[in-house]
Amino acid sequence: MNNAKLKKESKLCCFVIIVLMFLCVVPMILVLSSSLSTEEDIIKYGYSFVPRHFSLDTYVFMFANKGKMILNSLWMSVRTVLCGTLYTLVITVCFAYAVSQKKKVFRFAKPLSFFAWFTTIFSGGVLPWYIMCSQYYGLRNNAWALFIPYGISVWNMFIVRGAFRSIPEEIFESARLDGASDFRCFVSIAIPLAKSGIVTVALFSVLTYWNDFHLSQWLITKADFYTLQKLLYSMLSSASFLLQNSTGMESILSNIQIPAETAKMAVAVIAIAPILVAYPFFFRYFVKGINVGGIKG
Amino acid sequence: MNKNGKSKKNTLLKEVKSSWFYWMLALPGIAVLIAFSYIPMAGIYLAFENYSFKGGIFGSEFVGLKNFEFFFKNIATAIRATRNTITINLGGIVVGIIINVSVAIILNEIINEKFKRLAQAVMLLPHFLSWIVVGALSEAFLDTDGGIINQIICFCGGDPVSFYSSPGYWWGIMIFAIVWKGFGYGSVVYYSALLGIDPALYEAASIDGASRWRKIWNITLPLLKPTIIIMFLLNLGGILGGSIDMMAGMTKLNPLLLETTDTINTFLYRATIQNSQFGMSAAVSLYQSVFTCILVLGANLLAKKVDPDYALF
Repeated sequence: MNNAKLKKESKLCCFVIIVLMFLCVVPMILVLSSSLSTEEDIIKYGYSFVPRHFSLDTYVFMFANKGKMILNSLWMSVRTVLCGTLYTLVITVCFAYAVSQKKKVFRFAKPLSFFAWFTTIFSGGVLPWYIMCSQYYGLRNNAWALFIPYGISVWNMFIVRGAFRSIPEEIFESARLDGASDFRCFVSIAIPLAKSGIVTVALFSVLTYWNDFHLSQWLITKADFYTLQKLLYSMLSSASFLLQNSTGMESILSNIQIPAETAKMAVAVIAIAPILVAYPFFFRYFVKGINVGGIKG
Repeated sequence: MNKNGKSKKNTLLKEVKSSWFYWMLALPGIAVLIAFSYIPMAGIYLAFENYSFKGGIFGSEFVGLKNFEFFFKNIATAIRATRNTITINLGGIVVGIIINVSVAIILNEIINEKFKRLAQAVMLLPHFLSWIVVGALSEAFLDTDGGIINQIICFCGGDPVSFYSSPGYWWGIMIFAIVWKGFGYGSVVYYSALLGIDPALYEAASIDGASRWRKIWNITLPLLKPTIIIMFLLNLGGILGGSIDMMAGMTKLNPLLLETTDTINTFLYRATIQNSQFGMSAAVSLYQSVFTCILVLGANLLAKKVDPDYALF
């Protein structure tokens, strides 16, 4: 084989991939650098990849003047992620275990699978959903509205079902012979053995809740219940949002220039940072989850 | 007869008794599915009535097809929304597949395993950002005064382009954003399909003197075909949907850009929340659901015809 040519081609491939990697990282560097610039520089020279004058002014301003708003939305996001993940996970894992059973154990396993799957091909649309949530279930402008409607994600349920199904039947049989109850089989055998599937789904749902905007866009109008994403959206969509929701009058009276541009970038950084920090830990679970859920469904 | 019925009842009782544990496990899931998926399906009935807050979904005045009349009176907006939705989503899917498959093949040609993992990790990163954050990122690039793209244009001596008030650019921008956000995820999927290909095939081809391109064209691509078709089918179902996050995050529902960025979902949002035209949006919502369902079933049928193995269900 022509070894030199092979090496050259491989180098070319590496180069293409490096360019693509660069393309993924560059926007984030830009946002970080902008949040660390001064507002005047952004207005005068535009966004830049390296801050012209390094300053933490934006962050200081945000936490000094808007601290309550930011911490409140951060708390909303964190609380939604915690409650939501727990809630989704319990429902999904229980349902998945029931439908993973063989026909002779649970006759309705297959019909219930279909019952869940059908919702992925036909839906009533967002409008009836919105009316049911906001007027009948009382899920409007409260913390519940941020996670209750996402009780079960059908694709995640299928990932967990796959994990339960891959456990060898003999393990359960021998446990039953030893007198283990159904409950015992579920809690002490099935869940520990399907751990990696469950962890994957848990991480998926953490990200879903952290990044969610759909629920807060439809069901939340009060600033008290804004999550970080909704706060960022409000800041991006109206330049005067920071002025409207001033915590105290002094910021308007003293006529401080509000760093509107850098403030947006700072909130974006706050929204990205937790994902970046946790990323190295969850990456391998995600690749696994994508491979299971991406194809086999 | 009587005896028969009694024994049937007994088996049912036995059935429930033997599987009550599994029923209990499934119950919360069933409740959530009914509350948030099945009842809204029945709520499609909304499209045939004059909705009022007092009457609710099932007690408002029945008006038959009047909402659809209204819908057809606004047909220009509906067609515009459908056109934008399909262009942006289909563009994202098609360009996405081309890029994802190429990236997966390139990744497969790289020998260094460590570098490959790092590359996957970095390229997957955008997938985990929310659309709102992507909107913030894109603002730093597209901003008229200080955006990076306009800085480059000015540097080259051109006039700055005001992206946030020129709808003409937005199909391209949206498709680029969709592909940028999704190519890491897509290439991981195709890459793992590539790993499943028997290396003996490539060795045999090498012995026969096949070039790298030939091997890609005659071995890799045909073997990836089922994965490509399945991914296409999976995505096709969402072609009339797409999240409101995406459009809201990228355009902030900017009225100046509606010509090319008003999709069915943003249209529904505006009609419902901003204008309270419930009947009209119910009609649009029904139209969206029905066509999505037809699309999914049709695509699946087509796949089954080509090769039963390709079908999703």
